[in-house]
Amino acid sequence: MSYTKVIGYYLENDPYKKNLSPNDRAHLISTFQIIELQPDELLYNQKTATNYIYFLTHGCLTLQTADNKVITIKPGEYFGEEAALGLHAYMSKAVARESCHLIQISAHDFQQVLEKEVLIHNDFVATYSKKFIDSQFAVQKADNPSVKPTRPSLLSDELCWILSIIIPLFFYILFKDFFAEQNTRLFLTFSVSAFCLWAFSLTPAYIPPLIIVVSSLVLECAPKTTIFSGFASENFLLLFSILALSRAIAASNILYRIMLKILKFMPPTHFWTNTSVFILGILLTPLVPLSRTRQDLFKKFTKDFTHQLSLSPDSSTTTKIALSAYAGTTLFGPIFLTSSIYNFLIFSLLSTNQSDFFWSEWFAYALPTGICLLVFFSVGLNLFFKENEKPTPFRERIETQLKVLGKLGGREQGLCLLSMVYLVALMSRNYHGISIAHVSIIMFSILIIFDLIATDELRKSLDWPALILFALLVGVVKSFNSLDLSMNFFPFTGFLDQIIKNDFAFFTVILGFTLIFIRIFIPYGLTVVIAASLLLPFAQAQGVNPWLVGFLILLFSKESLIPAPSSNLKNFMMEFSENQDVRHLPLWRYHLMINLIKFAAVYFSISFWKDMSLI
Amino acid sequence: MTNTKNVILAKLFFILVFISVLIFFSSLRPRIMVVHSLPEKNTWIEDFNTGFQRNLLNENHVTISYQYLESKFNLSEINKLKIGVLTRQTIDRLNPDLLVLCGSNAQELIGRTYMNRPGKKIIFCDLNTTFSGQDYDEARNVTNIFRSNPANAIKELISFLPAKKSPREKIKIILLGDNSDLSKIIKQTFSAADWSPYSLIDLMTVNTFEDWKEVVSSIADKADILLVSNYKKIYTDDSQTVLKNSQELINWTTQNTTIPVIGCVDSFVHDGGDIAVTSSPLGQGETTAQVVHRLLHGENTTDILPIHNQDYLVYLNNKPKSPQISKLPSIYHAFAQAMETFEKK
Repeated sequence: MSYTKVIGYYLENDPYKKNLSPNDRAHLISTFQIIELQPDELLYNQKTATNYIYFLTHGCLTLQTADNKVITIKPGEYFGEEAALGLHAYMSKAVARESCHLIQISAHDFQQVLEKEVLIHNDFVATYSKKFIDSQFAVQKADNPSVKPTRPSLLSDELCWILSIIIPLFFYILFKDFFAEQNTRLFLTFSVSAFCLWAFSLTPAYIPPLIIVVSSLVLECAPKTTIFSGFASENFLLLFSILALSRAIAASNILYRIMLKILKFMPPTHFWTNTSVFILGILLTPLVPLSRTRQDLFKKFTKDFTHQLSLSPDSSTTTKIALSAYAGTTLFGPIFLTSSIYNFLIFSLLSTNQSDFFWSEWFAYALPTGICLLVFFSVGLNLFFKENEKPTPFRERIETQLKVLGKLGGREQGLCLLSMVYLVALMSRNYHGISIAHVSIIMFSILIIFDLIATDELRKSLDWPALILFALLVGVVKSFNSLDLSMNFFPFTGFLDQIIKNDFAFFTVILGFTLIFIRIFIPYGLTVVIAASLLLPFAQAQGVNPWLVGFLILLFSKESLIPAPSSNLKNFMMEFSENQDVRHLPLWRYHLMINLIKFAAVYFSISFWKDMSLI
Repeated sequence: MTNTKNVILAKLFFILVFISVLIFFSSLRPRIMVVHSLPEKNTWIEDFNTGFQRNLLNENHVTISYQYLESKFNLSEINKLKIGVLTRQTIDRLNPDLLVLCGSNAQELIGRTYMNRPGKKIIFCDLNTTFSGQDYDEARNVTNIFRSNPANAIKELISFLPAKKSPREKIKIILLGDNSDLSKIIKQTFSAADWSPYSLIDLMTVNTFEDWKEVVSSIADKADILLVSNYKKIYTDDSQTVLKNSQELINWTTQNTTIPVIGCVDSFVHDGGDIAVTSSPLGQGETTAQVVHRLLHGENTTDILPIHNQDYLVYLNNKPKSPQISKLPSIYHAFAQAMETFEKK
């Protein structure tokens, strides 16, 4: 039976075809494997790990439980629900009674669909209960390791909480003479406590700045207007609107459709596969302002991409494609203002000359580094990583998926048009003279008025914590600056003064190494906050443009010197592994390569920044 | 982020320590309460608060709260007493370490109660020289800041006006105002001031616009300078039911006299006058903040001698009607512009 016939049968007879969105269906199809069974052939038994669920398209198959109950599966039915519901092992033995054709679907991908579609989930539970209600072998699987939030496990949670009290206490006592002003000392003590919570990853990222803000308000350590400046700024509205647009784009089929089109026309070579995912990642970067969301979104795409190219999960080729995809979504984060809330944070701290570094200007000043990163990454990827499999695009399946997605819908067309208009408005800010924050609010209104994003979708998936985090962080860093603390923290001010003025390249080396070293111990956001609080006023005092130092902080803080035990990269790579484990060598190589190319890219950009009078 | 029993206990311990530390340090902060006699929206009060807060910025480890009696012009004794009781209850509840009492009502209604009260320090500010200290002079926990007397500033201003008389002849000044409390205070303050080498020949108060017109029409024969104190309580006629529109009153005054008219209240220029000289609320606020700073750093109220604030403000009209005022040195324009007291109408 041909692939087309099997898929055709599935498309016709899938009982959930009305419940699934075209996007989810197209995505699921990319994971399909067609299996043919001979009469009496065993598909799985009660000891088999639950990696797949199945959809029978032709023939007849029986499930035999431990208590000898026999269930017959007919064409058009799903079976192997245990995998979708998160059980360790199947509850029965599946044997073909006659020649069968069936579709094998990745349990992991199907679970993602079930998370969104409660009706299908409930139906699966009902079917499963009906079949196996008497069986006692079902054991709930542990939490999915890729979903569970992880943190370095050297210290226990209890100890970390206690340390978050003890460390600030010592700070308060030891620095009594250094910070004679009571207010300053209290502000810093609460900040140290909050930073401990953040560094130990004990709470979500927005809680530590909230603690600093609350304590500053109660003890009036800084003026209220400064503490709340993040909420009152236009950048808050700007970020809010961009988050809404990115949510609308992510919820639509646009990105998936683009990926399928690229796959359809792309030459099946290693160069093109890597370049395609890398460029797609870069294109996604300015549209989705949170790197974690970007990675989650792109992880799915890249996985489909490798499926479409018939690559096996743990092959070197897959690893290389996955790394290209990861680099595409992260490496260019500092190049676009709208790619991260931390970029907005740095932008908000450029109090005197914000308009000189808005979207297009930010991009223009960062472009030389971006070009260098692009070139060096392409070279570095081929030097550090080799392929062992040839990609073979499954054109027939791509055609089917495009058919499932159908024609470009009204919502998608509207979103494309709106995104383009918004981009033009961003680029032509100097001509129309309207503040981009105001343009963004108009764009948000259009999104809602034309129903380009459902209000429900907005309510459920807009990243409010990220927005609040941004506003709180602006308040925290500005409060820090209002207390004139920056200079107090530089015991080597004279030494650094000379370096930043006379040898900026050496300064970037010191800064880069310090940041990538610190990143081994503390998270990205905290590194940026601390570095920005200390270095931006310092740079301004030394006649170096604060934007440039902010840009370098964003660039170098993104990756640590060595791969962390639990990192975004590891989570990303986990998606491309069959056994939920990641080989460490590629991660080490990737970190080494990325850090080298960052230093090289910055080195080659320095003369441009000098010409632009930023140094 | 697993929630085992120990982790929950650790979290609870952290939150308890966090809240306790906040409460502890918050309770250590000195508390200051400023009680104003005038309402919050009064420009004088707003400027006083601006000056006060500006100078206390470096002293931000304090808690400041404000109370407004809003009873300065409410002459009902019962209302005054009620407001006094309510404010005293608030003071007892918040238990401030330092009380800043601005204006006579605050001093009368609140000051008396807390005089010589252990643990309380009191600053009387915005005092007029004629009401100096009242019977609080004996109090050990009180220090006084007097409102500046703008008589000296007015004398300086007059010295810059082009003279129409020979230097041997004394320049004569008349003060005119309504019968309000404010006018009475200005009258008393000015009568006590030393005006030499000029001569303050009369301090007149009128009730109606007709009386006002009569005085102004004939003033050029008697005096060389007209000073205008408060004029907000001038009635249209003898029935004393309808108040005369302030802008019409001042415009009429400046148009119907040939001598320079100088206001003694801040609204004078806004209502159409050429120039006004008043005591500075900003300066008053700043001086009060300096005294607060000294008291917070260990000085006793008895160590601080009464302070006579010397700051004043000049309000100036962009297009003065009086040719003499239009010839004032440019420093007056620059000062008014810097202090945002320059009327650009």
